Amino acid sequence: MSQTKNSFADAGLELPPDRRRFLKYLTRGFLSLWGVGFLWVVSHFLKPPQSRSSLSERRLGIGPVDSIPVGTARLVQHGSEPIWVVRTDTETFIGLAGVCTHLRCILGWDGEEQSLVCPCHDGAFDLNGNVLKGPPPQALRRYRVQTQLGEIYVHV
Amino acid sequence: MSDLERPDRETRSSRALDWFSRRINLTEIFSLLTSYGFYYAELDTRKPLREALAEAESRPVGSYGRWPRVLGLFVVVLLWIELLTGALLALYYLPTPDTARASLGTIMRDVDFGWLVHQLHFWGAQMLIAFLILRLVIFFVRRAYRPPRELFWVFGAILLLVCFHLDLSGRALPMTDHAYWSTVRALEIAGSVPIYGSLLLFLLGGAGTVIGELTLIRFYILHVAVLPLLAILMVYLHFSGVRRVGLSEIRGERKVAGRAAVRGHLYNLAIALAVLFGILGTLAVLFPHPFRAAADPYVTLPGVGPPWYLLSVFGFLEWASGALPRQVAGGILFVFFVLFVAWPFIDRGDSKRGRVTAWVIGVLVLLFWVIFSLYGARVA
Amino acid sequence: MTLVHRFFGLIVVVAFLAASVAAADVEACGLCHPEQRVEHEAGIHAAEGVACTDCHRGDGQSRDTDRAHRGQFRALDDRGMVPQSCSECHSNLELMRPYNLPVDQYAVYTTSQHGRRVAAGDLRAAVCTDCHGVHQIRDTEDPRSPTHPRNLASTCGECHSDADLMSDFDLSPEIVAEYSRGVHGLALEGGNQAAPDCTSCHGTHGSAPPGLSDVDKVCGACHQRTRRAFIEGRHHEAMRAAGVPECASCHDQHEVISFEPEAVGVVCAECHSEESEAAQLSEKLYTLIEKAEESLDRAAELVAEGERRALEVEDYKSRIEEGRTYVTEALTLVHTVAVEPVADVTNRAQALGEEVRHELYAKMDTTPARVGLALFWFYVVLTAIVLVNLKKQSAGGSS
Repeated sequence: MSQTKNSFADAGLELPPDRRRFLKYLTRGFLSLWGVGFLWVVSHFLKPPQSRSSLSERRLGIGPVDSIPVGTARLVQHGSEPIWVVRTDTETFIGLAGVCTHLRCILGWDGEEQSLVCPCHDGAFDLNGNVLKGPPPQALRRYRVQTQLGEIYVHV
Repeated sequence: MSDLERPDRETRSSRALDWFSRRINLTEIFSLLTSYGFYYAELDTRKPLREALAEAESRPVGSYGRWPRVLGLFVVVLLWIELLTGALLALYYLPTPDTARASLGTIMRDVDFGWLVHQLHFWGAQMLIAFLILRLVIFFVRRAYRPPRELFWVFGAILLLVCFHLDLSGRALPMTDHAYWSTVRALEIAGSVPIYGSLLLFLLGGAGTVIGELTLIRFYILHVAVLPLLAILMVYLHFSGVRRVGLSEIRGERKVAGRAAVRGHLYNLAIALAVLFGILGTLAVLFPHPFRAAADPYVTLPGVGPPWYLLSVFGFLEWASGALPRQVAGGILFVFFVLFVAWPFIDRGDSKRGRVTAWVIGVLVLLFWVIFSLYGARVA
Repeated sequence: MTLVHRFFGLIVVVAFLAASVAAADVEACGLCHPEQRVEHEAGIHAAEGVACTDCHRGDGQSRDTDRAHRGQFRALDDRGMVPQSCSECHSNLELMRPYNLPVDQYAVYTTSQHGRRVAAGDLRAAVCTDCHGVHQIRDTEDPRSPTHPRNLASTCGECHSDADLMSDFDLSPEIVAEYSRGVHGLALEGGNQAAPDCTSCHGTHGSAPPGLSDVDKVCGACHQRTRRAFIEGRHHEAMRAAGVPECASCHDQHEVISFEPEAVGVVCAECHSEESEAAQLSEKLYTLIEKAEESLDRAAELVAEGERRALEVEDYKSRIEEGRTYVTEALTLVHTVAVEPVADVTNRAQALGEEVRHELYAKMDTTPARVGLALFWFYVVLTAIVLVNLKKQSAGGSS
């Protein structure tokens, strides 16, 4: 093994080993900033942007009040999110996520029981989104539904 | 590095390498992966990796980082940058006429660093073509294509044409007015060249003058899949040539053997990368490529010419349109491009007369390029 | 009109209609008067069943000149007789009601300058046939009619551009030319049917030059906002008291000019001296408008720049449009010759422009990127130095 020469030695400076090691790690840290920066930029790029949504994009109009009779429900789509809108009485609308919290099957509506049921493993949710029976581990997400001038709006 | 550390590391890594070498042909994989700018000495793929490396390093080689070879290094590095930024952009770009410009707007405005990736992609492409042209010019001037290095030139020339097509297909994608009509001009030029023109237009779905849904998606596939593969292939073939024949001679060059040469080359690559990012970043921030209005296929935008590297061809066609029928002018271009690619097989000799002729032809071609580019810019 | 007169006209018409129905034959007048026959056939009178004899009387069936020209026949070559003969039908309510044509036009005509001169015996003045045509009378809606809005100016110009004729009446022969050069004339030519023609201000049959003060009332019929603004201002009472035309003093009544904001001060100088308070006021008003426009122009430039950077600018564009509407309103309110109403709208316009610029600047600020670039270059240079050093190190290190 030949003696390692470094440019400091050439300049007439002879550094003690630990300082040389420190310089080495400092250099490596400095250069690795390129990698860190690259990863940072790329990971930020890969994150899909928040749509600069105006109120109109966050409030979904799903039709006139009469399109959902009392005691029934309708499944609406927002992008890729299904949402069940249930009309419990003339004034009250409830919005619940339409995806089962167990293994993400799409829920169905049971008019008799007034609950959302999952066809895959027989789970069921009540109108508050709480689990009634079956394997689902947690409650459904609720969406705020309001009516305005005879139209139903879901806040997503 | 202290003497105490190196032996340990060497044993660990060498043991790992040996384990793999006994199971798969590491040398072949190493050779393949490093043929895109990392390692340019020839490796005997039948030997295990460490042996093959030791053998290759025993031969002295020139440095790829020397001028003018460093231009080639820049070309390869720019190609990686283009591939990477292109892959990132493809995650957000939507290739239909209705959504193309809007998706690009999202990239430029909403995606974090989207503007940066987009600008790097654009300026990287322009620099790639510029450096490649410069490299070919210098290669020609030094007549480095003489046997056995003819194929260096051929693959480089084909790479240039592939890069032209990459840039053209990329320009069509944003569907903004300037880009759209620039592409239409370029297609008109391509259409005048016999054989190749009809083939290209056929591949593009028989593009009329309207770039619609089908044509756009073909441009997209060409740009994202077909042409990059061709470009990578050309680089690979070029490097295979470099490995077999060795770098072209530079008089008085000091050739170095051993690992120092490899490390030196890797350092050169790193420095080149750093400097390139600096230049590209400057261009991206200070001279951003603008986002123009949506293209209207039914309203021709006046004063738009083809991309800068095609201005000379465009100028020539416009100039010749008075004197010659379009197909004849296109035919001349076709012949010119064939000669361009096959040049090393035309100028084979080592004679002084050959050298002078090559010089004269080179100067004439350069003049042609400049004059017709200016003419083309004025006519557009 | 007396009862007898009306009664008589009705009988004549009914008799002739009956006669023509009984005869079931075209009149023979055209045999000797083919040109007139052709002209008549092309017009609206023939289409509505008005025959030669309805105006000229006589015997329309006879082919003998003497017998045809017998009886009540009148050649109507005396221009002075024309208005009255037309009014025989056109002032008859029973006749005109189906066509919804007004029956007072003869009466109106007699009040006009044209009518009065004819009544006084000067037959150079216009009678019905001069404008409507003699035999080939077309509906005003017909683009070929001389009384169609687009043709009116040249019809009036037949006499009113004749320098010799006009000099006898002390009228300018340039009026039609002036009108054609003005905003109204150009608008009409450009196809804007709502633009005023000669009759819009002068009336159709009661043609009299609106007294110069009356012109202003006429302008306000269309330019209502401007007229109201003007009435609020100081000019209205002052100019009325001085007997000076209000609108026409600055805008001219025929060669109507629309002023660019720059001209606001220039026009004022025509009456007010340069050092006067009025001149200062005009300066102020112009400055207000100019500043607002500048603010909006700069905002528009920035919006264009923002578009090139893929920013969402629709909202800003509509705000600039709102600002431009305010500026247009300011040009109307300038007629109040008061600072407050004008400043009210120009300030709003200017504020909009500045608001847009402010918001866009914030979005388009490239300083962070440039600072980042400078730091990045610093890092690049350091990296290059470090790498070069390392390279030398490794080159010196191994055998």
